Amino acid sequence: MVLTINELKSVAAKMTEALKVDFVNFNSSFFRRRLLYCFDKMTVRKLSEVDALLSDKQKSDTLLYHMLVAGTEMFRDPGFWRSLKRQLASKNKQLRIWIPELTNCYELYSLLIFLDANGFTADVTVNTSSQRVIDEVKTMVIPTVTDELNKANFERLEINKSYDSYVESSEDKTQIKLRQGMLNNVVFKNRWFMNELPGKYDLILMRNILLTYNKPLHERAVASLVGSLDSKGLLALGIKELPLLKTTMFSAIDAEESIYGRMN
Amino acid sequence: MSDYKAVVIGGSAGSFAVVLKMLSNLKVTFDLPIIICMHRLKHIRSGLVESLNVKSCKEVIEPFDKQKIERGQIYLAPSNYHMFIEFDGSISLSTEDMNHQSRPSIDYTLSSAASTYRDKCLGIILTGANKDGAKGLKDIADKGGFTIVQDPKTADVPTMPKAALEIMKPNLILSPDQITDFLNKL
Repeated sequence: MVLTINELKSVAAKMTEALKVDFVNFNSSFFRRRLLYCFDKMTVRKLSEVDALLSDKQKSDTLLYHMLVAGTEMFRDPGFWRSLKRQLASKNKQLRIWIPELTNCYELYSLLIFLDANGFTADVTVNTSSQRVIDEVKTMVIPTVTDELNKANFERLEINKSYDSYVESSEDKTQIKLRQGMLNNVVFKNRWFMNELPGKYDLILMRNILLTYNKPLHERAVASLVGSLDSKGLLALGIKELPLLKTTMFSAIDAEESIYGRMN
Repeated sequence: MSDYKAVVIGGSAGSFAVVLKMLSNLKVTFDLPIIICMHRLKHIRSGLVESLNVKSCKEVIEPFDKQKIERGQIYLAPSNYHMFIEFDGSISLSTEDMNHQSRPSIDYTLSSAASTYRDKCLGIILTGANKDGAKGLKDIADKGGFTIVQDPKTADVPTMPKAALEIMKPNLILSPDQITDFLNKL
C-alpha cells in the first residue's frame, strides 16, 4: 500500500482522536513505516478499513500494540544498569519508579530483577498504551528468542547473583517465566503517559521511546516527565537520545548512559 | 565538490579495514557528509568509532537521534540502533526489529538516504557476509542516485556486493583504492 502525505495526516488525526495518543506528532517517517507494518500485521488492505478498525476496541488495541516498538532484549546497555546502581545507592528508601510507556516485558522484568539483585525495594508504576502489553507481561513469560543475549547482558551487570535464580520453567517445561512474586509491587495502567497527572517519582525509565516522536512532542514529553520527578529524581533515556528541552530543571548525571537528574 | 549531498556506505563487520583505509586516504578537503552503516556487535558500544578515528581524515561520530547532518562530518550508525536519514536533513534512530539479523540495517540507512537525497545520493556497498544493503543500493539507483559496488574479487566476503549485483546494475564496480580515488576526484 502506498500512502500519500495527506492520507498519512488523515490517519494520524483519526488515530489521535480515537486512541488518545498523539500520533499526529510522531516522527512522520517512523509513523509511515510503522503504520504500514501494522497494516501488514493486521491484514489491512485499504485505508477505508481504518474507521471500522478504530471503532473496534480489540482491533484498535491491537493497532496500538503493533505501533509500539518492542524492547529488544533484557538489560539492554549493561553500562546503563551499572551506572543506575551507583546513582540509586544513595537513595536509602522505598523507591517510586515509573515506566511511562512499556512496550513489552523486557524493560520491566530487567528493572525488577535489577532491583532485587541489588537489594533495592520499590513501588513500580507502569503505563502502556496497549492493554495487550499488560496482558502479556502479566503472564510472566520471557520470550526465549533473546535468552542467550539476556543472560550475557545480565553477566555484564557485575551482580553477584545468577540470572537463573530469577527465572523458572513453566509447568509443562515449554516456557521460561519470571519467578513468581516478582510483579507484586507493580501497578499497571492502560493509558498513554501524557494523559496522566504529574507524579512524584525517584526514577523514570523512558529508554528509546522518544525516538518515535517528532521534536515538539519529544520536548513536551520530556517536560512532562521532568515534572513527574521528585526532587533529585532521575530520568533515564536511551543512550542515543538527548533531552532536547532547554531548561535548568535538570542536568546530566551520567551523560554517557543518558541518566539525568532533577535539580530542584 | 560535486552536487551530491551525501555519500552513504554500507558493509558488514569485515568491511572495517576497507572503511578505515578509505577514510584515512580521503582528502581533508572532502566536505560531503559521509554516512556509514556497518554491521557490528550489539553489546559492544565502544571501540569501533575510536578505532576509525585513529586514522580517519576527519572525526567520525556516532550520532544522537534527531542530530542534524552537517557537511564534512562522518557519521557511523550506533550499535543496536537502526539509522535513518530524514527529509529535514537529520538522522533518526530506531530500535525496531532487526533486518537480515542486523541492527543497524544497511538497507534501512541506504533506502532512507535514497528517499531523501534522490539523485544527489552516492551509495557504496562494500564487502559483507549477508544480503543486507543490496535492496538499499537498488533504491538509490532507482531514485537516480549514483551507485558503486566493491568488486567482489577484492572483497574478503563477497556475499553483500554479489547480492547487490544480482538485483541492480551499479554505475561502477571498483576496488577499495579505486573507490577512494573516485571520491577524492569529486
